[in-house]
Amino acid sequence: MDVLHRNHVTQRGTDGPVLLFAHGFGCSQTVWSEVACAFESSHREILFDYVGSGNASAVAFDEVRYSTLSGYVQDLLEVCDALHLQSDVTLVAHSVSCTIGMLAALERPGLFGRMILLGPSPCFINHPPEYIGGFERADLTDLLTLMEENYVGWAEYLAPVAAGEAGPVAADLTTRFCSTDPVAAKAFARATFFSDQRTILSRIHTPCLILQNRDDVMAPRAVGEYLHQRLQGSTLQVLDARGHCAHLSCPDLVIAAMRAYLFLTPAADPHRGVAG
Amino acid sequence: MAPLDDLPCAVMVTDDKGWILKVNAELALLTGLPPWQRGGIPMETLFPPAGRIFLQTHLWPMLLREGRVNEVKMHLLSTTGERLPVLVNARRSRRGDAACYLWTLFVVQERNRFESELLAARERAEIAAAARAAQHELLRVTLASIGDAVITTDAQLRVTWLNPVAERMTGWPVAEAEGQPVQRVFQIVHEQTRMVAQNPVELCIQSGLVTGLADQTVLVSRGGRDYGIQDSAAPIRSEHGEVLGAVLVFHDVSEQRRISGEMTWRATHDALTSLLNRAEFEVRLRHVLRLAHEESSVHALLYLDLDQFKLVNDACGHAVGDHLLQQVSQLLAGVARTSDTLARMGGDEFALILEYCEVEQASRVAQSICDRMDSFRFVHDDRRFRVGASIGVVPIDSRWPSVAAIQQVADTACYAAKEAGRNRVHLWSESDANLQARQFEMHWTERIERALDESGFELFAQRIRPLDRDESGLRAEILLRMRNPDGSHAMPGAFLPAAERFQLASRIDHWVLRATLSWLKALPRLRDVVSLSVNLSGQSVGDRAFHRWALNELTEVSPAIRTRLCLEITETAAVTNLADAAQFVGAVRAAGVKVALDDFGAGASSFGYLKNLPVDVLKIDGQFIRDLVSDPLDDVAVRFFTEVARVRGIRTVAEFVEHAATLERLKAIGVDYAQGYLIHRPEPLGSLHPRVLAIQS
Repeated sequence: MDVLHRNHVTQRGTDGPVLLFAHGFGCSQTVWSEVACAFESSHREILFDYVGSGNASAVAFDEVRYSTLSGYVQDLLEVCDALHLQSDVTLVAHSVSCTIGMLAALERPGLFGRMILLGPSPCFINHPPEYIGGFERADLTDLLTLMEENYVGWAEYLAPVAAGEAGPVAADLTTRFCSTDPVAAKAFARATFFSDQRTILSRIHTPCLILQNRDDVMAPRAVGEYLHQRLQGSTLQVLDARGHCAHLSCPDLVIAAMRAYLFLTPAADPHRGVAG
Repeated sequence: MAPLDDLPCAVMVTDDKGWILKVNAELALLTGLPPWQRGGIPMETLFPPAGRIFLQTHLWPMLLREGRVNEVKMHLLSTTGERLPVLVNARRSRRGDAACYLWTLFVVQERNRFESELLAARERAEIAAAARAAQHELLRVTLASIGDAVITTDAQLRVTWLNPVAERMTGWPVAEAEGQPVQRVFQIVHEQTRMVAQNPVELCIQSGLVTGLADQTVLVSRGGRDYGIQDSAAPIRSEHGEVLGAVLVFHDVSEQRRISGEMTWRATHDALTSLLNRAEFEVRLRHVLRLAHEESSVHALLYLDLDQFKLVNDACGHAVGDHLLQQVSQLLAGVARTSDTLARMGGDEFALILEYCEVEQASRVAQSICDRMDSFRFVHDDRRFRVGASIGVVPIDSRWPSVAAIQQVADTACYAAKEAGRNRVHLWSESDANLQARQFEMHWTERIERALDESGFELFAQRIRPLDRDESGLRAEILLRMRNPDGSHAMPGAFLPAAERFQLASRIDHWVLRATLSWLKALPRLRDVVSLSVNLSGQSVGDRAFHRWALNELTEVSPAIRTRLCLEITETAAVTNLADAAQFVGAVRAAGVKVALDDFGAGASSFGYLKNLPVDVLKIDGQFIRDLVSDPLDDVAVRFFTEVARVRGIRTVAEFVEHAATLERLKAIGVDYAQGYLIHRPEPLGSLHPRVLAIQS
């Protein structure tokens, strides 16, 4: 299957440096619309949906491939390959996509010139005393149940909306914003919340900007600091934002931080990080 | 704001960062939050951890993007630490310049219970569906891989499915067959008449019963190819017993039918000449005699004996003699009409039944045979042999009470023709019948009686060799020879048929058994002998008086002798009176004597008798051994017999082993013993054992 179709790849912007936007668990590429808008005039912007999310091809879903993060890493790399992107790509990733991006950077050194990591967490589960990811294993099992309960209801709920007062356009957006396929959503949830990628951090040499929200249950402050300590060439910036989705709740803050990083910090030589 | 407190659901207002601005009385009651408290409390604290994740990954992003969320299921942490299921709705609103969000939270404890039950039920249904799918898959794979062809139809007899074997045999791919009437896809006709046979699926659906197919049904494939098949159809029923369709299972029996046809042919024909054999001749003679009685019709029987055949045989050998018999058979077949029955009775004797033929006409046919024989010359190695035929002609009409009676007079007439000077016809007539018959009978009975009384018989033996080892002691089959006045020996083929006809066979058996036992008793060292086989005639096998005598005789010798004795009976002999035969066989075996079933495979139903007649040894009929190496069908048959014998723990002997290649093949097949000219040419029993003098009673 054509990867561009499979991952519903959309491109916008100019012929400038490449920004590759990767959405997090529970969302789709539409979460980036405001942020992406801000860099339209300066960058070539590439957005996509992981298989199982948004508008990606439903038939491409494979329970085995997408049961671990490596399936999503392959999606990301295949999108780059399909577009012949080989180096100097700036990855803009949210939440679990930050981890997916780091795994991709390990598999394909040199692909990313730098990474902008919004609300990253290498592991959501607590491993006291040295690491507090924010959740216990049982909480994540509860999450899967909660998702199951909601996806049953949502399929019914979305149907009348499609025909109802919100109009076809709004319905379309809603449908695509949240995956209504409980199997794919649960697979992504398991891959996201049960993975622990703390050990890879020391091997990442790509310069990156960590955007840490001041008050985020999904990625506590301590997690941001943990990452900053272990990621060579990383910059940590705390945004005055509540919640996990600063790109939606405070797009201006995210845009300003990104601008400063992209335009004021000189682009790093991807190979220099090894020595630094 | 007071009216919010009257609402029967929990309500709160948050800012766009998730700080709780206000809660109503209901929510305050549920959560213990102070009502209308301003700021300071993030809304995540209302929910347990899983809810917080869902809020951050699903609810808030959606609310921020779309401005609303409807009926999201969450759990609310109550004052008591309980988790209350709630349905959450939220809308974006404005509060002065800033965006704010209005939330309602309905407690849905009851609905939640139903939902959980629904979910559990759905899970069970999914598991059951998966199990059904797996079972269906297993069934599909099974049906696709079995050797039988399978077709399923609906109740209207339309094909719903075929497995690959059915696709191949019918010539219909499943895609094309689907929806076609089953009669079109599964076309069956009667093997001989080619009339369309009734479709078993039709019958099965009409009757609701499992239906088998009539014998001799042939499937005609789409490409016109015939398959002999056996099949059955069974109705497919719903849980309530309603017939939904049928499943038809069939398999290709063309090969079995061919082999069984071949076996039948062999059982009724003479292998050397392809003419009918004696057994089949008697069946047909019986049929014609019945016609004669029922319709008072008249037919004729020609009995024919070659003159000078022995001369050719002796001068040129067996194989050349066989060749002569084949040529004569062709000559005779040229004279006979297709409706006539031409058979080889054994040796150089032939018989011809002419149906609806007066005796005068039959005489003319007989004479024409003689004329042809007269001008016929058999050529071998530049030597020319003149071979004649002596023919007896007998009318088949209602005067004869039995086929035996006709055969006897035909034999007499033939003998009369020979006596009268060879290559001539003797027409039986009432006037000379009695005299001549008696003379002829006298001739044989006299010779046999004299032989019995005056040591005219002599025991010969032919060694039998084990194929899997060497054996030092003597293992042999006792054969009988009659001394001719000139010192030569008459073969059993010459006198045994007559002996059987004149009820002298049992007396010969008496003589042979007693002589063999005496010989064994006189041995200085019994252990030099491993086994001696003695043939019993059908007459003896069916005769209780003989049974008593033989058992008595056997109990009088030592057990060591009994274990060295093997009695050979032919299946045809055993068949005549199976119950008596089985009893006799059981009794002698109990006494330690072994029993062999001789000429195994010569009849069509050998296996049936094997089941009811427990024996120690199977002697495979020579017709399967003679061409073993060149005839694959013989090879299959011998392997089959050997396998059957092995299963029943019975040893096997191959007779007529004449070539080294045959011996090698028998070894490979796993036959236990071999016997035949290659192993040993029969010799007088006495000369087989140097320490023993020939003892004749």
